[in-house]
Amino acid sequence: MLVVEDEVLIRMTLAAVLRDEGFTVIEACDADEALIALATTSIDLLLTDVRMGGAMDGLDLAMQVKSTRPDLKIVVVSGHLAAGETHGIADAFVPKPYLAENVVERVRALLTGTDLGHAF
Amino acid sequence: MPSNLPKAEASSPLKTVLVVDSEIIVRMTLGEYLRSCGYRVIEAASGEEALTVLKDSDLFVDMTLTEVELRGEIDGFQLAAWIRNRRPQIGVILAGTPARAAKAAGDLCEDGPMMTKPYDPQLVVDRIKRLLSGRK
Repeated sequence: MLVVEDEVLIRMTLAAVLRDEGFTVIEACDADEALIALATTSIDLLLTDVRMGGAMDGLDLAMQVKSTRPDLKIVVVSGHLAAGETHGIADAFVPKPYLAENVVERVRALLTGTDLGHAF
Repeated sequence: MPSNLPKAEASSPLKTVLVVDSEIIVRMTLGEYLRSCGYRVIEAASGEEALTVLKDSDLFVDMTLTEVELRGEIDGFQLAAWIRNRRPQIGVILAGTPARAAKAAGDLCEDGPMMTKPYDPQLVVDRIKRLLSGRK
């Protein structure tokens, strides 16, 4: 899975928790890096923050990726948006601040098919 | 705090390597490689991110492997100078090319305490080159 977050301490902490849980995690610091990772590696879930440095924010990234990879699961995290403000692009929405364990639960549910797939 | 984060007060036999590279392909490949050798790895995309990690008193870093040319205001030389002045106990490896970075990672793995795979550094170089060529 791909974690896109421009705050390095948040990114590394979440990635470490997810790796502890057995997930293979690629870390990207912005949307540009995320697009490179998506083009060059096998990724089944994108987890992205919304507000990031660079030309694209997390929602732009999610929309661009979804148009070419409709199978890709997308989790959006944000401290600024509400669940209903993600334009239906996300398979799951997690408000910030979050407990990493809650993110793990949502990710696992999406990847194992136990999530009901409610779009946000 | 997850168990595999390197807490400053922890006396863990696992060594922590901070990998600093502005190329995500290089960074993730080296990170994956070093983790497979039994290291904890923290990834930073710039000198600024590396300093954020190094200044965090809750984290402990044993070694920094950094590319010379980094995005942002701080290059690898400046980062190395900061570490040598402020955190002299942290080893620094400067790499000027992805191949040199992979060779340095390979050398680290040869000495790694939990090396599980006899990786050939050349294979890491080849993988990085292949991934980089795939971007063009």
